[in-house]
Amino acid sequence: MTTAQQRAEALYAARRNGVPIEPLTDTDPGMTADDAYAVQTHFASMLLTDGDSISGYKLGLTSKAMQQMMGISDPDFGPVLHSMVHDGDLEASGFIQPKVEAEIALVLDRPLKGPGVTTLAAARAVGGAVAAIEVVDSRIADWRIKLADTISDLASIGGVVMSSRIVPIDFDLRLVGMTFSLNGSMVATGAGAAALGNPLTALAWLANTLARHDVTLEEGMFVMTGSLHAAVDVRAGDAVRADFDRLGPVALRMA
Amino acid sequence: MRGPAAPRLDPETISELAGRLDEARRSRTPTTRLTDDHPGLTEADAYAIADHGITLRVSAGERVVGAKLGFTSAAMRDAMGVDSPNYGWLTDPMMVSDGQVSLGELIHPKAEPEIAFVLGEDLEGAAVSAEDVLSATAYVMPVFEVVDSRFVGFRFRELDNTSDNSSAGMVVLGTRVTRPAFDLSRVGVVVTVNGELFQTSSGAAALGHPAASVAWLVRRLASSGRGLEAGHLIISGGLTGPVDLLPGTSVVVEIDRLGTASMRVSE
Repeated sequence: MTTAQQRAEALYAARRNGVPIEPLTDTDPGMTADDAYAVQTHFASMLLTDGDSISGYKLGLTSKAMQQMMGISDPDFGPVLHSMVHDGDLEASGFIQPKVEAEIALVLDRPLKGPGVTTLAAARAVGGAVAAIEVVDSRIADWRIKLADTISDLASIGGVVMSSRIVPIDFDLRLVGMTFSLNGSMVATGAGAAALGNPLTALAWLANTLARHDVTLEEGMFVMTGSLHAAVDVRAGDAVRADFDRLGPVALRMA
Repeated sequence: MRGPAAPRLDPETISELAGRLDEARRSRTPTTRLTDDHPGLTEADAYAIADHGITLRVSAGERVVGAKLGFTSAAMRDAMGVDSPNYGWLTDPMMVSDGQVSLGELIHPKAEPEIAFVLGEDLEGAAVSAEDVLSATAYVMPVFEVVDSRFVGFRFRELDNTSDNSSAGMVVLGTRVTRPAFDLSRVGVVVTVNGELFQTSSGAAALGHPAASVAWLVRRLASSGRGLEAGHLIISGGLTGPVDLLPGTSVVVEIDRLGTASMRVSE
């Protein structure tokens, strides 16, 4: 078994048992992003072997603040599996240390494959934008992640909740405002530009990056384009709601 | 609502403290905190000092053209340990319509994007709601507030800030006006500094709704028997963190449905 496979198995077991592991970068400080995507690929294929399927992708580290914290200038990405897509009710026991983030999801009406995908080409492939909340979770103890840790760990995906309203984009996604509340109190605000300057630019980046792995974004897939605010801790009993201008609301309840 | 409380300080002291702040502003030399010398300063004292400061400016030929809100974000109130907003008055020379801000006129300014309301009707009363504010509003406009504390190191306690007219400095006006026929709490706000994304937010960052912020002001003024007038420009509270202003800095805010305000900073 390769090192990448061993690491993927450790993360897979951590996810299954709900017991986090120490950072991979503790034992291998020189681990690169490419090393980490190899782990991610193994981790994802173990879940696919269990019968899951890829419904979409997520981008992470799309804000300048997060990129500076990680010492990078690009976002990262990971697959979102069918079993991770929920209606509004989630179980806290299904996560290790969940946080929530409001994001704009984009739904593809056509396949999108790089290289050379521009923001305009990305816009043409999109059927609409959807109000979404991502639950991020880490299989690494206490969220002590470096870049290679989070990439290996499926870009820290926990789950997603999306509105059922797919809104055609005839407005500037950068300027779509969002107000985020936890148990009825406003805890954050943001606008679409927080996702890499423009959620459509984030999509184009993903399509071009996936092309290097010979992966195509398929018709019907969705892409979570990145958080519009700093992540908020969430626990059992919490009610979370994101109100998007133009896209409407999306809510989740953690039981 | 509270009734009109009387200042605790005597009129001479109020006049002296207002004069000290006015001198700090005009000489661009920050002063020490009033609460260091007067630890028992009350809110009524602070507003009396601010009012006296405005009287000094009006005596010098300035005209009151509106008001500003402070401490409208929960993060700022938490950081300052305060539980409500405060306000200050705006005068005509504070208005900047060409986007040019000169550091030579200020002490240590910072800029915050805000939504400004221009009233089409007088507005007063202890029960005024956000809806009342919207129906009295002629139009809204994106602006930058340039805040500039008259205290050393931009460090102050709540009542120092209230005494200092809520750090009012300048207001950089936007490029167009809009009737607010949509929900101002939802509009997206994107600030860039020298072409780079600085921060984003939505209108709700100002006390949950910019019109609720103005309504708070009207109710607060009613407790001392005052109100706002038709034509007044009310800036409803910062929507992102403050941008430090250095020579050459270019700052732009785009607010969905409202347009932009831009400023360029010179020596």
